[in-house]
Amino acid sequence: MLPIVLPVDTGDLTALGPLLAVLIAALGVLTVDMTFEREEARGRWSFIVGLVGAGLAAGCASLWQWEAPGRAILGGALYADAFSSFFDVLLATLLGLTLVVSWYCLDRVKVKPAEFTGLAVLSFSGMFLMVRAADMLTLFLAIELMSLPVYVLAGLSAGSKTGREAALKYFVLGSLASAILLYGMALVYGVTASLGYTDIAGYLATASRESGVENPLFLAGLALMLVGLGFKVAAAPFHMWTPDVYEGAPTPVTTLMASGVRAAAAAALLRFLAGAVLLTRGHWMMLVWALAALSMIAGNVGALAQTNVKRLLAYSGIAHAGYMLLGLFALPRGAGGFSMYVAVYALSVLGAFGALQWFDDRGRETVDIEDLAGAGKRHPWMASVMTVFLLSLAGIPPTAGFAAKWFVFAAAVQAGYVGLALLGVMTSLFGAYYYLRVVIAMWMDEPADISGADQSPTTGLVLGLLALAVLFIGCFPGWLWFLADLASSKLV
Amino acid sequence: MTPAPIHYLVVSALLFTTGVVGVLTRRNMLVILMAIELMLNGANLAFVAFSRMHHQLDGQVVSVFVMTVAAAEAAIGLAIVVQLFRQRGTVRVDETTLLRG
Repeated sequence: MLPIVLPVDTGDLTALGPLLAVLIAALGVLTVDMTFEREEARGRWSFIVGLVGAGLAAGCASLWQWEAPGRAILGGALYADAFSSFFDVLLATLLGLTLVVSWYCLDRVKVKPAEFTGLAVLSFSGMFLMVRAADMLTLFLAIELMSLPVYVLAGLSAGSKTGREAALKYFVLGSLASAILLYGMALVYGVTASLGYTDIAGYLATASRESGVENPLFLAGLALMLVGLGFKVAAAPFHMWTPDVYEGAPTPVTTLMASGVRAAAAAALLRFLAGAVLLTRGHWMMLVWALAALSMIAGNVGALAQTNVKRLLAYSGIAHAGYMLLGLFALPRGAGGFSMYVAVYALSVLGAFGALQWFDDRGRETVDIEDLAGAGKRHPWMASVMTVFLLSLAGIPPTAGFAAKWFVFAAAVQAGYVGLALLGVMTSLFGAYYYLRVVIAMWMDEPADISGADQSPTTGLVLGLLALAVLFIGCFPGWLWFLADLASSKLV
Repeated sequence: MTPAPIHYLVVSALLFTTGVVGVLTRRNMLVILMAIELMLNGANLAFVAFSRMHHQLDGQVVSVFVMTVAAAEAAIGLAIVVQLFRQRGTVRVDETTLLRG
């Protein structure tokens, strides 16, 4: 009889800790959903299991020795390095916060808490897989594991007229993007004869220019992959779905789409560009240049005319995808600015959507700017918290958004892309206008009928702490920059 | 004549293009779902053909995974279409536009 040897050692399992914690939590929530009779108990216990999973994941991730060299595990399918640990901590935080800030809103949008929690945790397990994917197959599977639950989540609201339509739009365009990405992968595989990032990089380093970096088939594959990933991070011109889907989906789901999904997609993008195809950066940087410039313009211009805060934040997210991409020009040196921007943006936008949920009207999903009028008079604390998040998104000091923008603009300037950095500065000055429009509505206008149905103190407290964290990062950005730089410097 | 790998690649490119055009131009959701399947299968065929060209199994392994994913995706897509049909009574995308843009 042949001895059966599992190709897994305990060191690998430790490195997989955060992923396993979230995956087991997802299965745990499904079990809880089947075990308890009463709807209320199901919701409560699935919430607890989800939070414990997030906590364990954050705990496991922070145990990683950050100075240790990265390595490939599980036969080269996954990386275990400081980069995955950085994003593990971020994603675990986002998961915990998403669950907490959404908790009281789920009733209002008629989504069953157990279903929301189960699908959200499942989607996050895909994200944890995505940030450590070391070959194209794992990347594709991780993207699908992340996206499929979110398609369902978008259409989960029982009472919503727009939710189903948003789900359909998201599904069709998301699947289109996945299929384009997959065809790109097929072409890249066809040229390089390998799926692993390290092997692809190795092939490009040894092959002649004609069969490697200048090969049209390979470049076509790379472009298709960038299109697919561009959809996922919602960079223009692949952003058309974003405003509709963000508006139509229930706000808790929008929170998850804007923070977790984008952060994981951005991490996977950086990992692929730096780890696999860095040698062709002359080619893809042109594409990234175009994506960044278009996103900054389309996002900021689109946001100007919006009266719906969810649509406004969707367009602002497109603009932020552009700023984020500026951080990529720092390659081949560490793209710490990119990682830091992703982290700061994800936390700020999660806070903004969380505060929006806190202000949400009973049974109504849409929050227009005029609904927020006078919020500063009725709920001064929460309005201050919302203001901090909006200022951070606008990039106004002393918030985290300013510090993060500083680092990505500096990266672009150092790489010689001064024009693009200038465009970034101009558009973000221009963009500050629409964030301030919301802030002014909250503080200057006369109170509208803003119910703020469940004034949950817990959610308020958590959001308040998050706002303090955003201010803290803004005043002392050094430590986050240090971690992001440490995590992103060894990708190449 | 035995078909060479390049023939398979041409077919895969045709399948993929048909799929893209289908998703972008057709208005019936069920046809759009089929077009997405065409795209995925086009990619699958390319993976298998390349795998044959390189004399290795990686590409074929990918195609097995992709088939699984495609099944899951089709299930979710059909579920969304059924829900939308119950709500609106139509499977045409141009008749379901509450959201602008």
